[in-house]
Amino acid sequence: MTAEFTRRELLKTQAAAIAAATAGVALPASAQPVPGGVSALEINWSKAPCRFCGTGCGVMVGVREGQVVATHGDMQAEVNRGLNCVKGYFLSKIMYGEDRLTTPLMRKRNGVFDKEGEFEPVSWDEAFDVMAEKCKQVLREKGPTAVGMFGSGQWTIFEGYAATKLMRAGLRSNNLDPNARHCMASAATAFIRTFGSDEPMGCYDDFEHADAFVLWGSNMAEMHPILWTRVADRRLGHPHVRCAVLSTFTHRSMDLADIPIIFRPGTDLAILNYIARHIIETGRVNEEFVNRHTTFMRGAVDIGYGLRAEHILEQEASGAGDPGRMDPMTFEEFREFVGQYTLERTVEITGVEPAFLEELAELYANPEIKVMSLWTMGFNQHVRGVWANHMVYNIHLLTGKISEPGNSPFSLTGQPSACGTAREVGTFAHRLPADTVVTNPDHRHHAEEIWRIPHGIIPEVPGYHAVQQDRMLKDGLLNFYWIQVNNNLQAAPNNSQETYPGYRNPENFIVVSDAYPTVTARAADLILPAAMWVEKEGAYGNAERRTHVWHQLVQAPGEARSDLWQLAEFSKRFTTDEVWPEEILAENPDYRGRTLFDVLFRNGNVDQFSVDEIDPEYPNNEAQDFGFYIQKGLFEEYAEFGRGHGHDLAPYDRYHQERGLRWPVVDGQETRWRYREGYDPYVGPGEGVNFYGRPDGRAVILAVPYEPPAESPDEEYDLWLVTGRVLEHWHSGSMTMRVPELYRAFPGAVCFMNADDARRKGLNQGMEIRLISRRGEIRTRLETRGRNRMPRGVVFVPWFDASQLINKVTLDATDPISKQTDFKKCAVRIESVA
Amino acid sequence: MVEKRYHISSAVVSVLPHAAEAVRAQVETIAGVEVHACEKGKIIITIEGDSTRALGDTLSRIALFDHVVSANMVFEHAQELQENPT
Repeated sequence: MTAEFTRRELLKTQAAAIAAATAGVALPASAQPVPGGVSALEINWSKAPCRFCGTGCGVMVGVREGQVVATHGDMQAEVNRGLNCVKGYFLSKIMYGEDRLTTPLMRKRNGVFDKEGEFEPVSWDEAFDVMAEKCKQVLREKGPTAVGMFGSGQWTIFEGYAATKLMRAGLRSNNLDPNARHCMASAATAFIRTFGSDEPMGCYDDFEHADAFVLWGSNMAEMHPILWTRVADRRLGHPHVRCAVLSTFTHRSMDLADIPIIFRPGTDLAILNYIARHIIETGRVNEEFVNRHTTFMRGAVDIGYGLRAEHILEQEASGAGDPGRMDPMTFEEFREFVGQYTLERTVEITGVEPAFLEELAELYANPEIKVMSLWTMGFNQHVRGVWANHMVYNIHLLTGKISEPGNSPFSLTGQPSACGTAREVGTFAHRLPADTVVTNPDHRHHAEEIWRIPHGIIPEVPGYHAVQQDRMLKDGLLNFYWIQVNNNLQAAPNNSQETYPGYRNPENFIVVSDAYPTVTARAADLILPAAMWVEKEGAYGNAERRTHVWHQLVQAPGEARSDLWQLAEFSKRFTTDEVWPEEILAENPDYRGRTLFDVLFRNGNVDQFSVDEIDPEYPNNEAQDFGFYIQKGLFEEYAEFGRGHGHDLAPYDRYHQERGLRWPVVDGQETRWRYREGYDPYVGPGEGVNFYGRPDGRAVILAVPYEPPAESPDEEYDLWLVTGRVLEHWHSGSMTMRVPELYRAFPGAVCFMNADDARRKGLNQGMEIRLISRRGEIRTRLETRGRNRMPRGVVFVPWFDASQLINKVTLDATDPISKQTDFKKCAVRIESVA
Repeated sequence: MVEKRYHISSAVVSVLPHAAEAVRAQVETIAGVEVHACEKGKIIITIEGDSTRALGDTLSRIALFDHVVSANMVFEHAQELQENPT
């Protein structure tokens, strides 16, 4: 036996031992780990949250000789307790793709920038010089509403916060929106409308307390495998536990379903109102709870589909002018409203077996059953997504099944910091940190105080939301545009008609910061190479309000730099005189002639912590470059917004010690269930429950109807198209498509179709097809078997594959309230290529 | 002396309890996979090989077997090994 062979055996034994311990399974004595264990391999281990989805799993990252060489699930992390899904398995490889960007690239011809030129490597100085010149030219000619930025739920908290400061307080534009608009704007909007405060009241601990799980459109088995494992452990370990899975097609999560429900696209709204009716008509309303803690409202109806204003569907929609309107109503009026959704009518609308609907309704109505509702894109990417979110709160509120262990309406997220950055920091076109908004003068005033900038700097009109940004780029009203950490040209709906033209519009200058040459980067004018994940110090916030911080562990390749460095460095190119109004400067002469870097980042807050406070075990490139501990400074300034206002964060340094903490963190203690006395420090003695985000302390129960999708199949386009994800690929595939393992497992997207539908059209399994809508078409292959089994009339195409851009086909209809796109419902037809 | 890259990972496969033994038997037939324990609906496996591609394919494949609820990675490691050919 060679020394290396012994080493392999050691590793294998160790690997098995860690897996067994994670699963709570005993190993035979022969397989016990040997003394010394993995520490003998000279690897330095540090904690970090996973880079991929919104679950927020803890990962131990192993570094040797400046490279990440190993990872394992963090057994101390409560979220995942040592497990990582297939995506986590590839974390150590995402940074080492062969086509990693290592230098800025600009389109040039004859040595100068030319929009029609080819990409050439340039220095950071040249890149920023041209970028600043273009930005200043647009500001001079058209003003701040013509500059914009598209950010991300994958930004670290510091990056999102630096971006919101640079855009709103520096360049004075609210045209800042995150890609999270595409994934959870409906959830965020409904949280604010219902509870006056964003994000879930419960947490993942609910998985171990619930008696029933209801998946509303979510395919957790593939999209949230770690949380699905917690659901499965609860379901399989406790025979009384029930699981209902609702979807528009049969997928992996159905394997565990006691109540499997396939409904027609968009008709989940009818099911939700039917359940509300069932609760009321069977006398199971929790009257004490409803009387003390809720208020009834009627929502505006016929609110349109968030298309361009001239679209016939918008012209015809009577309620499109004020889609978010809510007017008070009584319980009796609410009862009458949902009374229309009888079992018979609901069966007719949805196509679901009546017995399944009754079983489902009983999970909510029966006061003995603790129920957890879970949803992600199925609800949120919905032209009535805000309504769908409201309606699930309706049924939890009518029964009082909320804000306590196991009774939990829970909105899952798809990106690692959709909550922590996009929502909490407030990188949406209308938001400021900690649930404040640009339209409220007090909120603006407060932000200006904390940021130490003159009053009147932050603009009051909300900026363009994601889909509107694309439309304005195309129309030539938005001309300087910076995209960070996302692949919007692939992600945006109807992209060949509405997105790509704006990128190539000669009036526009498009900058993309990314680690890889995505389709978005390749359509830009300037590409900035980004440092990713553990190549920088970072902080993410997951779906259960958990803020999790990590150290920089390795160096990015070449000249790649973090988005934080890029934002702060770019701000040095502007002075206040160039971007702030003369009247404000006249009143505040001390601010004259200073750089935006000075007023935003060297403002006495952000620069207050010395580089000596950084743990000497770890590098921190940004802090070394700027001369102060910028991440800590940004975090502490940002935390001022929430402390004492229900969004309390712990002191920054503590997060380096913890596997994350769930806010509000008050007196050093995290909060697992908000709004409930005994769990939430903001609820006083004797109050029981207090939805303190709203002035009256009451949550809203909203009466809204079923309304049909923007486009439904007809004779010409006879099929529903649903888009989504698959287990192995994460969103647009920018990272996962570079990992050969994942690429092999699902190398090209396919179109899942019902076998009978295919036969009827004379199509066969594996055949090359054209998938055509009114917007565009793609070529792909037909899959009539496999993991997703489609009902008649519905096809499913995953969107990760850049060579088959399904968003050429989708419709840019959005929820008129949240402005989130509906990627789940449009009409297509399929033809054989042959 | 040859330089070789050695890859090892471990995983926990959660299965519907009635099918645990059947899944175990199926998993054991895959090259490079070793079953270390199987109880309470959890199968503890290691996956070895000299190509990351093979490892990744294997775990994704297992995740999609019938009766498998989830197949989650726990530990993964890759490094150059120097071996004397025998």
